[in-house]
Amino acid sequence: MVRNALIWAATVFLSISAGVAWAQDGQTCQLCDPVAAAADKPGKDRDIAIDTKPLTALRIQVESNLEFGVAALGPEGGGSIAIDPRAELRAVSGGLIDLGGVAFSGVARLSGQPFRRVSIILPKTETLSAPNGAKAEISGFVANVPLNTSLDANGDLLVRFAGRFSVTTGQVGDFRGRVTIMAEYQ
Amino acid sequence: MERVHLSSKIVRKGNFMKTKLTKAILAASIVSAAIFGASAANAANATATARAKIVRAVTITNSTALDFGTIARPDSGTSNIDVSAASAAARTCGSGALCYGTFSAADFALGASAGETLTVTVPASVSLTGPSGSTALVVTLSKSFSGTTVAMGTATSQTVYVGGSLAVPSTATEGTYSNTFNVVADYQ
Repeated sequence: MVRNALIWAATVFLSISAGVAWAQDGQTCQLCDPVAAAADKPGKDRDIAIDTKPLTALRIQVESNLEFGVAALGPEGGGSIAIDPRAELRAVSGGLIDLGGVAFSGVARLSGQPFRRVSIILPKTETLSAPNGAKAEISGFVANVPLNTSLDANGDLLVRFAGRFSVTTGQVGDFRGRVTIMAEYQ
Repeated sequence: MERVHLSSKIVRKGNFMKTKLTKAILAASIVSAAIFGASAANAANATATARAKIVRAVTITNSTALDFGTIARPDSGTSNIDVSAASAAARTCGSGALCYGTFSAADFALGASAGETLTVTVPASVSLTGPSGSTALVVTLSKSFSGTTVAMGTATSQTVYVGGSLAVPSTATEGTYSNTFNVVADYQ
């Protein structure tokens, strides 16, 4: 009885493994070098253990943080600071008065399998806090490259990202927050 | 003997089960590692810091004028009338002139974010315009802070004062002299 259960469990597990390793259409190995996989199509009874050329692990390294600069909150109330990472343009609007300061997009470097297509996932919103308890928000995150793109011949991709920092009436302070950038192979 | 044999058999079967279970767990672990380890390599994330500094808009409000009071001009030469740049201002009347009436230094209430430093600009002098046909009287301005900056410290408001030295010649036309001057404050 126990033996049967173990055999059944192992069968199910291997079925799942094969399902993950080979895409649902049964034609593409998602864990393999696409070049090697194309030259070595799987058969019906193919075993996952045959993979000999695994993908280079995808990595992201933040090279620059996101800085919106300095602005004064005027009597009109809240406002926003938007940075366009494609042109490195900064726009201050609403009740904020531009005081300059250092402002630039965040920069993240993706590294992995050369030419491999990747999906970049930016957060929808992030909340920033000031030491005095004030809150602000970043929304409308954008990047300087399409969010579905490819790594270059060296397996690299430099991504500049930014968004719109918004603050409401009475919220002043030195705001800080964390922005998590994700990426995955397609 | 039978009891011992039975006991031995149970132990052996138990060992067998344990061995098989161990192998199954090991196999499952290997497969899991293959699946999930590879999946982890397929995705990555990193966290950046986002920063913005929002400060209060600088405000500057004057509520008290620089006032030298009433002055009787000297009989000869020029006398300087000084009003110190302070909340409780003092007035010094130069030789030959007489000073009376109320006087005050100008005050400027600054509003800004705590911890910031402001650049505050006060003109060096201002000419007071008197009655028609009179010659303007010049006031050399002084201020309650040194240099050109004011640190807000832990407060969001701070008051600075502007005093001055008014030169009154014996030839000054009788009448009221006045003018305005601008004090400008901004974040450094």
